[in-house]
Amino acid sequence: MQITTQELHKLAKLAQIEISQQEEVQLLQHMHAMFAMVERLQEVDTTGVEPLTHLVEETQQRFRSDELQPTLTNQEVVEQAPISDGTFFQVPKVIRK
Amino acid sequence: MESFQSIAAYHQALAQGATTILQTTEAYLNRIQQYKAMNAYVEVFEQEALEQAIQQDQLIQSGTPLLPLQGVIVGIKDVLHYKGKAVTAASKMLAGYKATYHATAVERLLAAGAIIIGRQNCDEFAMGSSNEHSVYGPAQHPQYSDRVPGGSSGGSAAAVAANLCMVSLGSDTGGSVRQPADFCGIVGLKPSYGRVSRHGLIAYASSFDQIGIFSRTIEDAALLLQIIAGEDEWDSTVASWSVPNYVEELQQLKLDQKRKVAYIGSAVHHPSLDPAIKASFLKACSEFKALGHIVEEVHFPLLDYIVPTYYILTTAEASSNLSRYDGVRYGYRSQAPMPELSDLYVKSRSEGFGKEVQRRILLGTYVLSSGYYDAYFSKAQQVRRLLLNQVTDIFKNYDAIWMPTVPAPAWKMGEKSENPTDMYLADIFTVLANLTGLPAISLPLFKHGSGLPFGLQVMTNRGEELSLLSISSQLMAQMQR
Repeated sequence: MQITTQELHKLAKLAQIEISQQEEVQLLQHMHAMFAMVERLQEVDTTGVEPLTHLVEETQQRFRSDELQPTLTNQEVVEQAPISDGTFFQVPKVIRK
Repeated sequence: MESFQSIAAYHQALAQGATTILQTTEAYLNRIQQYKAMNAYVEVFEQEALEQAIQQDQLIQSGTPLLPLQGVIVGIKDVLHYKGKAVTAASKMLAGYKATYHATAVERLLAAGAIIIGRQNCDEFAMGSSNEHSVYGPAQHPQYSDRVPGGSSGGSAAAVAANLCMVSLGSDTGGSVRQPADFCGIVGLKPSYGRVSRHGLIAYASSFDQIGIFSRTIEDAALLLQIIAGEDEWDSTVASWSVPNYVEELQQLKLDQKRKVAYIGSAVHHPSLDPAIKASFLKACSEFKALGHIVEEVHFPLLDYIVPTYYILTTAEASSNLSRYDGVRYGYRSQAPMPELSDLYVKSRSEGFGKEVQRRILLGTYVLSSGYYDAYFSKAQQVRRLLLNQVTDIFKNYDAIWMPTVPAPAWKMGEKSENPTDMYLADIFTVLANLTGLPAISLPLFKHGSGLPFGLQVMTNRGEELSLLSISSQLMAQMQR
């Protein structure tokens, strides 16, 4: 299987990552090597095998009681943000007049 | 500096008044400074460590009995939350982020009296086998500065090996504790999936990740496991298994108890395995057999499909887990001009994530995308089921599975940076335990002709850490004879 430059950029868009032109050639090479490696899996006969989705069966999962507990304050959360006004996160404008 | 054989020996010295926790902490702080070039630590918590040491000494003076880890100098990989301190997964993406809570494992260490002396270098988001993919620069091998210490928990392994802490916590998604332990010549334990809470561990691949332990002895690993293991209301995937008193159980262990061990033939005869490692491994097998244990080769036809399965599933989980990094709420935010909100995400992620992380996110996005999901992701989940069935079958007849930990000893820095898949294939012997949730340990038993250490890996059935530690003790005792 091969991946085209166009497909690579589509993938990058889905992953919210930007690929510069100088990275493109090497990244394509690396992706091809990775694809070649994972492609080998097609050799395994998995007819009728149930996919293993979780190592812990859902019935074994233990949940804590659904009670309100104090967590972080607004200030503790917002002070982690690279840009905020002290109460809200700030982002580029999304609503235009 | 005085070096203690074990935590028990240190506690004896404390009880006899031969040393104090403050003296010991200061000695470790000095030593960390002295070995700064190794780049094992990315931050040292000097002030907190000294304050804790003084408090702990006062407790001893007031006649309070010693806590299980009182005054024990512990390092933590830069993926574990320690309240009030930076935690960055060695990534620019998490620049400026501070832990607002303790990871459960860290909290339990502190409650047991441990002194957390600093956070340790690793590969970015725990993705890598060499500790070269770190925003802080590579960590060095403790004995050979031109070689890698392994990864991703390279700093944590190097620090224990160089006695820059007594024990440390790392994380193991595909071998990130066992492989650097093998490279650095120490013990590296990955508990069963579900044995230790992952609360406060920065996620890479949630159905694989597990906190692991680096130590110089089995007893120290057992003691740490006993403290950090067990149910936690903050992680619903922790199993409800009771936690044995591993330390006491090991003390009562009869070293001549007979075991049934399987070793995987296709691993030992694998073309990538270094001949010296193969020879040492087989010698250990025959010596164990000579003591009356059963050691037999078993057939494992899926060995060459383990690494592809692992990379499909972990990159898929990583692409999902790492989608939370958006440049808005915490961590790195690009300063580039960005007219649209989406530019903020794209620029921040492109500048914040390193190349290896980006590659894995892209592969994960690919295998999860519509049209390829069944061919790759579901297929890999099916193979994961087959692998689990195979190991379950082996454990019907055997107590343990042995394999080499890594196909070759520590490589030179830069040696595997041309093609990322070269490094992936070196995970061949470690990823099985993560795919199937088994506990596994790398034991420092051998020296290569080049002087580099390497280990032997033991795995037992899920939840059977006691058996794992017991067989490891028997094997260590046999080799030291």
